[in-house]
Amino acid sequence: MLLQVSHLSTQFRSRLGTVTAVNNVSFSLDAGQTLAIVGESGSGKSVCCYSLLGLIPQPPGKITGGTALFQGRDLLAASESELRTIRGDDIAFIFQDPMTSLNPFLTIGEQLLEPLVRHRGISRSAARRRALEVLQEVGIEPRRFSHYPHQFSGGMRQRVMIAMALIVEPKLLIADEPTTALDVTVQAQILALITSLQRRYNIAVIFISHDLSVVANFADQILVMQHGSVVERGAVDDIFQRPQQAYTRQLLAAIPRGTKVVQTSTSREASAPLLQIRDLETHFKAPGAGLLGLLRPPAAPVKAVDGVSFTIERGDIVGLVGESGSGKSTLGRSLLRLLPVTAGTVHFEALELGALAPSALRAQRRHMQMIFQDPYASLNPRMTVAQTLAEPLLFHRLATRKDVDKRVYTLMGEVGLPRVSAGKYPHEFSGGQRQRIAIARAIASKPAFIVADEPVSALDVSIQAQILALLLDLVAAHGLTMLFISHDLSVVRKLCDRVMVMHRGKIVEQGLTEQIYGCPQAPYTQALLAAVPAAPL
Amino acid sequence: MSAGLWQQSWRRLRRNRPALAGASLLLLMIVLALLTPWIVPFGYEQQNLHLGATPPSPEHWLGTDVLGRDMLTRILYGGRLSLTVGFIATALALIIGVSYGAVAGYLGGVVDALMMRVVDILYALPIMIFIILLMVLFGRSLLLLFLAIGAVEWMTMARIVRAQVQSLRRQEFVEAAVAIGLPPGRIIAQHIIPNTLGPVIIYATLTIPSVMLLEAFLSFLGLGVQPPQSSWGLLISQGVETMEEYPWLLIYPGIALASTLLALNFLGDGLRDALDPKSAED
Repeated sequence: MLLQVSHLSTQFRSRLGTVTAVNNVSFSLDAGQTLAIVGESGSGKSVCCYSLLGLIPQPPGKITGGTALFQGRDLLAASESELRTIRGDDIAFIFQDPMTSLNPFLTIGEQLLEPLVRHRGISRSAARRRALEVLQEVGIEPRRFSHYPHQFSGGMRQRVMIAMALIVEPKLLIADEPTTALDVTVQAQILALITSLQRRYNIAVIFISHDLSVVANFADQILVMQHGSVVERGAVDDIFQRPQQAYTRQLLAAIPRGTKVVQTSTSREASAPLLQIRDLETHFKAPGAGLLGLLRPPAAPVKAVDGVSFTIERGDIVGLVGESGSGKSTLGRSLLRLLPVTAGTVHFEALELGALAPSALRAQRRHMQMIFQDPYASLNPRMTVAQTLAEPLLFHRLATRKDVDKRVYTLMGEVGLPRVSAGKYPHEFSGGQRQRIAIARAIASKPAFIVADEPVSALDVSIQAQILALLLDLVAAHGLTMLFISHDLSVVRKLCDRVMVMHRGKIVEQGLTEQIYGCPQAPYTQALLAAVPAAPL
Repeated sequence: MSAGLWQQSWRRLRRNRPALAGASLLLLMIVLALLTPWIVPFGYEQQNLHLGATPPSPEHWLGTDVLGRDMLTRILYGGRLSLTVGFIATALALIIGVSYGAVAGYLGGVVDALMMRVVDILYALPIMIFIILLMVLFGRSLLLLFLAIGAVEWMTMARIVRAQVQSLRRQEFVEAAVAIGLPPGRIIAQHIIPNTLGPVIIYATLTIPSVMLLEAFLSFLGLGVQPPQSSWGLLISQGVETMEEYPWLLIYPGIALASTLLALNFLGDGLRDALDPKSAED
């Protein structure tokens, strides 16, 4: 037994009272084994692991009970300096955001050498040899040894983090959502890398994740946590095939799978398409604008959207998938003219949006709305729900001062928000509720077309399923047409009638959802689909 | 619907004791300043050369100055002027600075670059020369003094607001406001400026005292208030000259100015918290 945690409890003290973040959690792990701890945000899965290594701030945190035997030694009773040695030698961490865990002012080589030279007293040249060896193992070329973190992409940075974790040859690796910030193809590579290194060096891994489907393929054991307690534990097959607890079943049900149920009324009348996009281009000037920028020779622009043509039929939900940086968000914003478009046309019914005067475009905006990714940033923190929802209604004269309250209540009802929350401010709501407010704002002016830019990617899985169901209901109830932008291919498959795949500013493939998923033509689409973690079932 | 932002803010402010104390003290100062001509027993220019400088006594509570003038009277009259300068010039700086900074920050690009270079150039001009020029051109008047000081102080405000706005306008809620179809003016007024309030209020409460000191300096140079009229700044600068012989001539006006500044700072802190819905504890 490498690690045996029993009855671990951690509390946080705050002004509002004591919160038990981890409540009587026990688990054990053998060398070379993988334990996945799965739960939604706030379930205590991270705090649980950080408690083991003295990484929670105390106070306000306090470990109130339990033992954690690591190779026979109780981590919870160890002194800070003993823990530091253990952290440096035997237990390594990988965090979610590799950018914030790397020092931006040091080359990655320097950061790799540091633990060896400082803690192990190995000579610089020997340490350098070892560092290059590890870099090669994680798939980074030796010449990048002297590069700085910002010169790496997100996936490459995570490889650097893995190299840093491996260089000390740990016995236990704790990976806290290591692939959550990464694109799906990169995620597949990183997961494969962790698994292969784990086999070779017989490392035990604790893998913290909110996503059951990610851990399905390589974990030995799964621990499901909720509200600080263990809800269920078991082998992967047991959890997926024979879940015992209601919460586990709920999590499993929330994994988007299957395809959209096509309406039986296939005889959609052949009307003109709602949107027609021709040769759309959106380029960004390279940085260096301002007065001095005028003096410099212009740098080559970034072609975020590079010659895109398609049409969107009335009533369709069209999925737009692609990895980060593919230009899908820029495309969505360009359609709505939230960004200045470089070239090409967007016809909304018969109107060419680019030809409209600013005031005419503002009037047109009530027919086309947007739902944003981050429900924490997309609501004005100084406006109540009622004010936020009343704004589009009053501005487009869809309600008068007298009946605006009634209309706001109707909207809130439609998105499932209780009336009493009308006077509350955004920070008083959870992420899912905030996204409901943002959705209500988008449908307030009764638009025909909505761009939803990753509307559920910031939310927990069970919340995600609720919001997707809400979106589907609203689309049906209001006859909406929607462009659904997402990096999550399973969500798109479940929701969309048609799919467009975007890569480097161009649409590489588009068609009916089942055609694309069933037999993808473009090599990029094939690679993308192959990388989706497939949950058993 | 529940109470509006202002009612909620007032409720939060009332629970903040230091801020409430600051507000009360400030209110007292303002009331005293308004009523001064009717409540003081002496005229501010009423001299008693036989008396000369005397320490506090039952007749002259805060003593008299070298010309035998009652200090309490002079401090109260000085407060009228200092408070007026402080509030009017700061209000002016606030209005110009916030709107200028918000427009520059929101529009960005070349407009922003041009607008901010204008500020840089004005910054580079020596303030004194600028004010003296104004005085020479337009003659000396108190109103012009307010305007001149306000016209200097707005520039820092504009820079602070611009920096705030630049980060705000990239936020999704501003984009959402554009998507709704709101025109730029309304977006700035409704979505951007309210979110810059925190730093603006803090800076405004810091500007009021610095304006009062600037007035003292100008008066000292003979560009501001002329004797026998007075202001706190002027009283302090005169008090400094004689502080070894007659310390009360420095101490009492000093206390008046310092307590006002303290009150303003507490009130400013409290206002910032009260106007931020996130600080609600109910």
